[in-house]
Amino acid sequence: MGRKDDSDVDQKLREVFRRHDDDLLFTRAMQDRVMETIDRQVDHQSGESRSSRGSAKGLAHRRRWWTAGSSAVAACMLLAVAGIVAWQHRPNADLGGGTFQLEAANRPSGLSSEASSTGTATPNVNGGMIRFEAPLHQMAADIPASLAPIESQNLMLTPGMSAFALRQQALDGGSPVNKSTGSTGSTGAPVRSGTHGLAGTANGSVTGPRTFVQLAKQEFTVSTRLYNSSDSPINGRRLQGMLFILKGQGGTSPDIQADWEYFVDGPTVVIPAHGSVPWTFTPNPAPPYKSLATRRAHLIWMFRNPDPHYPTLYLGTLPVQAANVQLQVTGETTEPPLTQFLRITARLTNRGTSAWDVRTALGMLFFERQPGVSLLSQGTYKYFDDIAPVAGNPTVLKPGASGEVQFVITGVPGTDMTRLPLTILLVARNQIGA
Amino acid sequence: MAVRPDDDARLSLLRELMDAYGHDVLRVVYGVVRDKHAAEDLSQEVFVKVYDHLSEFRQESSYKTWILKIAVNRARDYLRSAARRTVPVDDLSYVADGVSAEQAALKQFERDHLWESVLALPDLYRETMWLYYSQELPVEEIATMIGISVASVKTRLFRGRELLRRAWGKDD
Repeated sequence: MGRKDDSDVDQKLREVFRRHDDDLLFTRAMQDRVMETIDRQVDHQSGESRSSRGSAKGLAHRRRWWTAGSSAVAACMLLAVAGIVAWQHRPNADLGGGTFQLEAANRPSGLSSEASSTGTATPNVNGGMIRFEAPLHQMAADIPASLAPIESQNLMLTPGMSAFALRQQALDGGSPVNKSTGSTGSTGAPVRSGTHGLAGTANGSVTGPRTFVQLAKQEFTVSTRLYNSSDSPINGRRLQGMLFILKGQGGTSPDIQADWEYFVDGPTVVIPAHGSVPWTFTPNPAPPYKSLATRRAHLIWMFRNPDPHYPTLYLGTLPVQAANVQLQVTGETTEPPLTQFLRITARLTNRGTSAWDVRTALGMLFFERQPGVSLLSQGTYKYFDDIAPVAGNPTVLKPGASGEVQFVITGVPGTDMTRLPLTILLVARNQIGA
Repeated sequence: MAVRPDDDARLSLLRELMDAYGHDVLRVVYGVVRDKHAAEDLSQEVFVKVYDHLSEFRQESSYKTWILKIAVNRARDYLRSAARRTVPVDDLSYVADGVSAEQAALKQFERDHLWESVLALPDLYRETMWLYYSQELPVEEIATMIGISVASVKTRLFRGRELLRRAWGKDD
């Protein structure tokens, strides 16, 4: 028999597969068994937790952790937050009356890390800005988050990049636009700089290749050992961190705009009970190296999803009402990956009884990569940013007064940020440092 | 304050994904493990795993690619853990052995016969061919899914076809 060409074999193979595919069906009964398995899984996990909590040893260790963290908990319970939720949509999208109410209390509070960046690439400022109206609801709720029993030991700043970041840079060839596997915290760099930043590189927080634009020289690395003071192993992927690079010598909160804030991922490894693992983070952008001598690092770790067995952070509300949230794409990079430069404005009204300086609050911005994900999950892009009054607007709002503020951030490379639902929280600076 | 049923949303999404890709997962898993009952069990495990990792899905690929990648990996793990025997390439000759050229010519297009030869392919080639012919995925997507280069995918498809040609007695 003569040799058949590929198309003949292809056709025959497709027929063969098609016939047999008909016998392979994922039935509704199979789906139901999946759901039952998940139910049992959840029940089992709950049972394990209850069991663990009930052990004398567990209680002893928990008490010890509580002692260590009690001041932090107390501080966090006072953490004041005002929230703004904006459901972004395309200009022609039909809102359908779709106001979006903040479900803060139900979100597994969290702050995750993601890379946003300002790049060395030249922004191409469009003449016509794209403007997005956003229905808005003020948050009048609290956000639960659970403090993780993680202590940062030997926390220090060292000049230069971490080995991970160096390796990554070597792989990337040092080009301004890099491929990175490092998912790390995002930051809102000081507004005055006009650039906002990418996360930098962290060891082990790898969930897949990600493109980011290197913003600036990575000046230093934060290194520590993460100690798990609980009786149970903790998967680092469950952890969401907040890193503050503080200029002041006292306190643990980023009180001033010269401080830097980052969302950071936990390690990708499991931290054994009463064990520790190394962790490093190379911020980008970062304060200049020359100022390192006056800088301190402070780390806070939370669970991405609330864990009832650990202290809960209750984030209260600032007496601030927000309205008219708008997102503008002010420019974008000229070369792939497309990176948007964004300006987000909102009108804030002080509903309190005393004057309020907008600079005393920080903005936390969460872009949901998939609608409905929890804010602290890895499914959101997270930014810290200073709150700055728009030119001509007051910095201090008297009771009942309103003013327009802005956030200036750089989008995630290759991502159309305007498609992503946005949640903004306003956090009192002096109470976030737990 | 509204309540967001986060877990409910995840479960709802999972249902949608099972509706959309359940058959594909089952077929891909079966293509690797060649055991229908095992494939059914493994496919259910795949979706439990999908549920567990939904929050980590980064939209760097389609849901389908992501889920099928999980499926392929789970099926491979199963084969490894079960220490399943892989049919050596040479064993493919049994497909055409014992029959005359005429008989082979008559039978070579019979469904079971063809099917057996596909199932007898080494895992390496069968997996790739399954994704290509059964799922009709582009080679680029297959490359991403199983973590090899596009060139490697093409090579495996070529070699798989050659093996089947031999098995079907199509070589001159």
